Amino acid sequence: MSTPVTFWRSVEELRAHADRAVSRDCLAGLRAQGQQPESPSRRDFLSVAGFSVAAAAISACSRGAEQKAIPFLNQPEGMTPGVDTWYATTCGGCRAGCGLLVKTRDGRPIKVEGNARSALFGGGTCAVGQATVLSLYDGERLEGPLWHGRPASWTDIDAKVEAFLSADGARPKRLVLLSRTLLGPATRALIAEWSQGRGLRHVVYEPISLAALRRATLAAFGVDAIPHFRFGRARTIVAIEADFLGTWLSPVEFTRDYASGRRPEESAAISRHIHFESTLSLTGSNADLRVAIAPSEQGAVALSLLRRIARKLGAGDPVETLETTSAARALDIAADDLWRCRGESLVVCGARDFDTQMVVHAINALLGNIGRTVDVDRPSLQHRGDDDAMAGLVEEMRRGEVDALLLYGVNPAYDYPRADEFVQAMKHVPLTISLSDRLDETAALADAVCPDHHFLEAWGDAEPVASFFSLAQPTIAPLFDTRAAQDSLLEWLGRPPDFHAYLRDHWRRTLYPRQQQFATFDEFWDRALHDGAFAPADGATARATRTLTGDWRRSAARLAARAGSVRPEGRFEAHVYETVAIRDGAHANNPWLQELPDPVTKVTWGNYAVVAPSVATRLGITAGDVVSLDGGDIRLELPAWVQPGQSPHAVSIAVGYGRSRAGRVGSGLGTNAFPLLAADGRSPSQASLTITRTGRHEPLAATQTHHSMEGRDIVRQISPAALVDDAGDRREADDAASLWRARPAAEHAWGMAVDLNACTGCSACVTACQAENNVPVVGKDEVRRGREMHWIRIDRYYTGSEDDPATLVQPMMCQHCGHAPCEPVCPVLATVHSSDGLNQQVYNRCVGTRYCENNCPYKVRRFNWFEYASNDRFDFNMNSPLGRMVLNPDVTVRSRGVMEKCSLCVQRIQAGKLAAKQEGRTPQDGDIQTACQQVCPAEAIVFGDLNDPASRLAQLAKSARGYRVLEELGTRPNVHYLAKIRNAPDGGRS
Amino acid sequence: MRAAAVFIALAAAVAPIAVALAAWELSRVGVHQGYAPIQPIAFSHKLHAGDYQVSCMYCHWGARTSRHAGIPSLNVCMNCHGLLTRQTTDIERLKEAVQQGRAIAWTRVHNLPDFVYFNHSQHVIGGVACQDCHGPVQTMERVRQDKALTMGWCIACHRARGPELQLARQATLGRGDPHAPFPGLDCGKCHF
Amino acid sequence: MTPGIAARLHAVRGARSSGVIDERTRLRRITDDVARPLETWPGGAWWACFGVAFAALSLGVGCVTYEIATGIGTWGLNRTVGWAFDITNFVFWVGIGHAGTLISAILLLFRQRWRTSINRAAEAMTIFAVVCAAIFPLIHMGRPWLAFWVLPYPNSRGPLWVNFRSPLLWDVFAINTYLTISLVFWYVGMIPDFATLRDRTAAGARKAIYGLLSLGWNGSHRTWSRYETLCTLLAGLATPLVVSVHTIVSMDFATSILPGWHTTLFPPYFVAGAVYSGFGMVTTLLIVTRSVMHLEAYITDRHLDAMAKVMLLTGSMVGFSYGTEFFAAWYGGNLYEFATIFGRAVGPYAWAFWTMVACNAAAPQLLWSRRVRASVPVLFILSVLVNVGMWFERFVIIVTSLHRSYLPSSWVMYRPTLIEVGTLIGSFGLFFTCFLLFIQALPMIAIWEIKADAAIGSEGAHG
Repeated sequence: MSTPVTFWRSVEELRAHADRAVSRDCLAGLRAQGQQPESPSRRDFLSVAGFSVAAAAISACSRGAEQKAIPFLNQPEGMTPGVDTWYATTCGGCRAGCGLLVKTRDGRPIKVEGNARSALFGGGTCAVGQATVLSLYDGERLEGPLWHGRPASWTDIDAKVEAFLSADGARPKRLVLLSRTLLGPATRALIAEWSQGRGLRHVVYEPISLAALRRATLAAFGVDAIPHFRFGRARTIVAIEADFLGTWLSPVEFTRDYASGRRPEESAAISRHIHFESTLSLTGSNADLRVAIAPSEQGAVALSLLRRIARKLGAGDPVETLETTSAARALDIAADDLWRCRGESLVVCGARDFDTQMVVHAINALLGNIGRTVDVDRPSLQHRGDDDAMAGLVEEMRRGEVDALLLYGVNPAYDYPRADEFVQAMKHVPLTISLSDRLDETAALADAVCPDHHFLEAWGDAEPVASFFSLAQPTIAPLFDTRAAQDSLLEWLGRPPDFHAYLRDHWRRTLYPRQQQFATFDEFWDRALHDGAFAPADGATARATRTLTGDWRRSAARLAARAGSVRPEGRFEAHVYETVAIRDGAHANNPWLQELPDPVTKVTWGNYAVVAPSVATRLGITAGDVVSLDGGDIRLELPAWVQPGQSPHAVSIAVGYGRSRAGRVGSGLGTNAFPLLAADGRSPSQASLTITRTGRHEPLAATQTHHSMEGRDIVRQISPAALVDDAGDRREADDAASLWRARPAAEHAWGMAVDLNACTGCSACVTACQAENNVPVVGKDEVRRGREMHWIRIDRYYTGSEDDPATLVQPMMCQHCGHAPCEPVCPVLATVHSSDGLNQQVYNRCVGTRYCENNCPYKVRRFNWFEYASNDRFDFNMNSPLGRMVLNPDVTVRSRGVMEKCSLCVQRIQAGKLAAKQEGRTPQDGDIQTACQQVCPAEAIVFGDLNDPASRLAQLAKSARGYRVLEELGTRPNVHYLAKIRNAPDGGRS
Repeated sequence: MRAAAVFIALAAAVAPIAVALAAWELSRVGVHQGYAPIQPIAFSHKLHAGDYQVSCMYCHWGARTSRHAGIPSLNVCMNCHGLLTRQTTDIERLKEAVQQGRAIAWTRVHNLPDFVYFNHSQHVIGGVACQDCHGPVQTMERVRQDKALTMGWCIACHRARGPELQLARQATLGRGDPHAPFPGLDCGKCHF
Repeated sequence: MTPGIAARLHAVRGARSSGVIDERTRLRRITDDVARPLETWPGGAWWACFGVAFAALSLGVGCVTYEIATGIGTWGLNRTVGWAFDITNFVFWVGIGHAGTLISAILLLFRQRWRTSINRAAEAMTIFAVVCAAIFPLIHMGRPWLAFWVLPYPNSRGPLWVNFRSPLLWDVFAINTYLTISLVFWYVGMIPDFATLRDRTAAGARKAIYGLLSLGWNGSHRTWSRYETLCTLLAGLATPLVVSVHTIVSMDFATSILPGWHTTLFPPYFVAGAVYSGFGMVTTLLIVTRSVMHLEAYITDRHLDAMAKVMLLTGSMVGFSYGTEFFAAWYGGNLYEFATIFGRAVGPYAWAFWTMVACNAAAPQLLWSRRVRASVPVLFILSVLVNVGMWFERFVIIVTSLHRSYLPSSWVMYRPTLIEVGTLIGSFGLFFTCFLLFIQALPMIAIWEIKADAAIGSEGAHG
């Protein structure tokens, strides 16, 4: 259980970092008096300066202010100051509902990790999940309820709301709850009670809607949900405009599944992935064969695929029209592969179009994938947005047919395609209540704002996939005077506002009976809470798989009729997509995510208009030129980005930017592309835009500006055939003569292996590393200057032609060279070799000559150009007492003027060794996981001891695919890479 | 010219002494050996740890499992003082604080810089006595920083104990090179 | 027309007629001419130069203060390019210094008599240049206030020593040695002149100061013979420095692993370049000084001609080194080396590269012609070009090698900020401020040496 408010008073906060103690103390004092902690003023800021090594070094010259140490009044049971406590909970970062383990130190959540006990999601998370812990400490969160923009007490608000709801008029009040997808069965039950009790209508709204897919599934199989796709079971995967590794539906689960089907060491049969899409997405960049298509071609591609499959099946051509897609060759290959792997293949489609989805279902049905790779019996409940209901609601609101509107976890004033209409309609609603945690675009217009807890402060549960349950529990006492949304609902329903009790009761009634393992509910509950996940046995029992019943032939006919509509000359189709970091914009105020380079473009801090190289040449556009996109009533201005592999017919813009009320960090970044969404995908003709140059130039903040490997052997790519040929033939550079005497072997030799075939480039490791190692955020300008501080970066290279490039990614962190070029050049011995093979950077010894950085062939060293931890210019998390609470007390915050770099998570190594020592044993393989290894959903990174021949690392290092980057320099890196395998039909492009 | 010669001779004689003194002073910058601040409650370690033989780990129980030895929470004090009848002004102050639920802000005596990671449990397990670093606390009325706590002071101990620890460990593990560098001397042992 | 001027013109004409100092330039007037600046209030030209130099110095001080207060981030460096203007300026200034040592030490050993009237100024220049150079390694540190950590001294950290394997540490020793020796050599050289000045000036503070500085010099035979020995010894000590200092500086690069840096060519290449740039600077300075301070009689065209020849030689050596780098890159067949070296000529910094080639390799070839060497204006322009070129040489070596090394993913561009430019200007400000003060406060021509020269000259004329 999370500790009560006393967590403020532990010794360690004072021990960990004196200034943070000061800052947190003042908060504690205020909280004790029931006041809100004021947002850090400049004076606080100065009062807590002296955080950093430099400050420590300087203040060391005089004793300075004496430090206070304030112990607990009453030591909570089972909590040792300075020792981590872990809680299992459920991620609220997006709608996927991954299981999490939250690491708390002295009552503060400081790191989230995937819950390895979760059969569905495993131990990995995505970048957004990693960053949620920072959004907990976001200074923009509301510190209490508001009534018409003014702070009010909960009692006032409740009184006003209840008065309004119970006001007896001629007719019963018409209440509408507009919410995002609610994964929690208990919450849904609660809302159901409302609907009976108060006649509440529940409308589920998702800014990025998968409603078409759900409607098609209902029509095809009679299941009102999205099928549960099983990429791990598919040997051939064909995806049409579905970024399932990056942003689509449940990326972490899909990445884990997908990678499991592509491990040559485990099974010779590596899945083949064929991808049709408009812009080069993370998923597309991993495909074995990728074809750029216009958004309007999605239907045609699906249809053409259906025709080929139908012909192979001998079912005859469903429609008698001519082929209209440009991707004939790829379609033939796809059809052949799919057919060869009948029942072990999978076609997924992200189209927001009913007919296309029907046809895709038909293809899967014809291939016999239903019940195998496409599970409709236990479907996904992750995305339940309903566009039509939403449109209807806006209409009702406009007509004044809604008396009260509850907004829960939604921000339609920003992300509804016709936001202005929604805002207008809101004016006709007598009472609007927002449960948003901040004063976002919608909450700012609401009558009452009743801030919800952050999910790390709240109770809850989730059922992301049918009969797969997980629990959420508080990991910290609420930082502000907020109240769980469910408690608010209970309160207004006239029930005791105790959702914890409600949740327990719900589980007692619904789930406890579905298991035999535990005799008493309390045992069951404690176990479920401890594990975080619960999958009832009966859930697994196979039922009769449903069969395709819907009339897909009519959909096919409709598609055929629609296809071939001519595209007006000089116009481009709008293609709107989500980025891996920012997604739908809900986390726009999270600096970690804003600074996370896009896995493909490597651009940070803002969105841009993606155009094809051919188009750019034709229009004379270079990256950074601000272009204006005009499409009738819609007009956007944003910088252009020239993207190899982009469809020449489409211009792609990411949503999630252009927030006006996201907060200090996220407001005013980029341009809002949601207005384009209305037209996107449904009827392309409406979405056609013209591109004109404005003459302005706005350089984008990209972390990588050169995209070719220049013929250097950096990322190795081989074909499956080649793998079979040179199995066991590992080029061993260690045999090369060395001038240096070999070091005597110590107990350990730490090292790492990165499987480039498993790595998708999703960049979760970058954010995980940032969270674990207190890596500062530097902001857009500094990234433009090439000064991002990430200790691990994902290098991305293109090979092949501009129009049809193959993409290679390579996580690059300190290689911990056996003969490190950085070590001999440091004049003050600030970077030295450890006995167990680590290349150590000693911050407090560094004087900052940067010679090591110059001499590093991998350019993985990062220099503190400024005092990032106490500097008004870098007003991100490290510069507010609240934001600093996320810092890892086991890792020094670096001062200005010192070099830093990947330490291979030495603090975790030390902790692992200590744990072993405490248990009187030696560390076992797998005991110690680096942050990047732990977070990786694809399990592409392995840390271990090269001295232990049994360790997984030692095995991988000997793999036939194994090599080390720039081996020929004789640096002898301790980081090994495993070559990527491109399972391309023509036997491997490169 | 003789004046010049005399001047030079004097300078030559005085300079080294001055330099030596300056160097000594500089080397003591930031070293707080002997620091013994007044505490809000005049808690006597001599009485508790010395005369009454209360084990260090009874109050500073964190030292066994955590990086921090910890300062006992007031309920630990009350374990005994709840029963003991003896009253002094300081004990009064303690009980008052407990009744009012007011935390006591002790003044820290031993401060290591932020860039040093020190873990008590690691050393306690390693058989290092509390007194090795904190001095004869059981004889101190008011706690005083007894040792210099400089890096050189830490390293001296690591150097002294390192080799035999290493050999012992290698003997138990049955592997490792006796000439291997001792991990306890890695910079990354304490600085990360 | 005052007799003084008439006499000087006379002397100059005489100097033209025969290369060495004219015998009619009586020894007395030598002392007068050399001592004049010290005894008279500086003229307008001097004040103008000083004003400009001091303004530049102030600008530099401002920029450095801001940089140290805010962070290295105020420069244009980034994760890939860790050095640029800072170390470029450092190497540039160290190079400038070399001419002084070469002239005063090596030419002394080789008994090159023409050196006598320029060596004092050259030595002064050496010292000021080395001071300018030494500033940059200091301020380029992320935490300059901890710079003393590069010195091996007993400490309470274990003790923790410095890394004797690091070329940067070698620099520390090389630069300090260089500065010390140069200072001693310079001062010792001035002792007899201080004595002369002491004897010329009436009692007072000046006399006392000169008296102290001259260390009781009495010009006796014994003093002179010991003095000669001392000078020769110091020259012997200084001579290896001419080679060693810049060799060690070049090792900052040569010992690294970076393509474009990692080459055995650097030591000789850097030494030649250093002497080249040094003579470029000496020429520039002396051409200005002799006209500002009216010393054409002592810094004659023959001196300029000799220096021009040295420039031609060293310039050609530098040009040859450029060629060698390309040959090695091509012949060595190292992919990365090739990309870097040829990238200099065609890459984004090609403009800097070709500036360097034009100024350093091409321009000095004009000096083959006697007429060019005889024309002071042309010589002046060439010498300035040499300085520009040599600065760009260091810029090209450092930046083009860094900005595109092994992994293309980390390739970036480097753009200097105004702070960096200001710091560079400031270093020139410091240099010229010091030099101007020097020519106003100290005898900038070795009176005793040039007297000896003149004497020899007259004998030659009689015989």
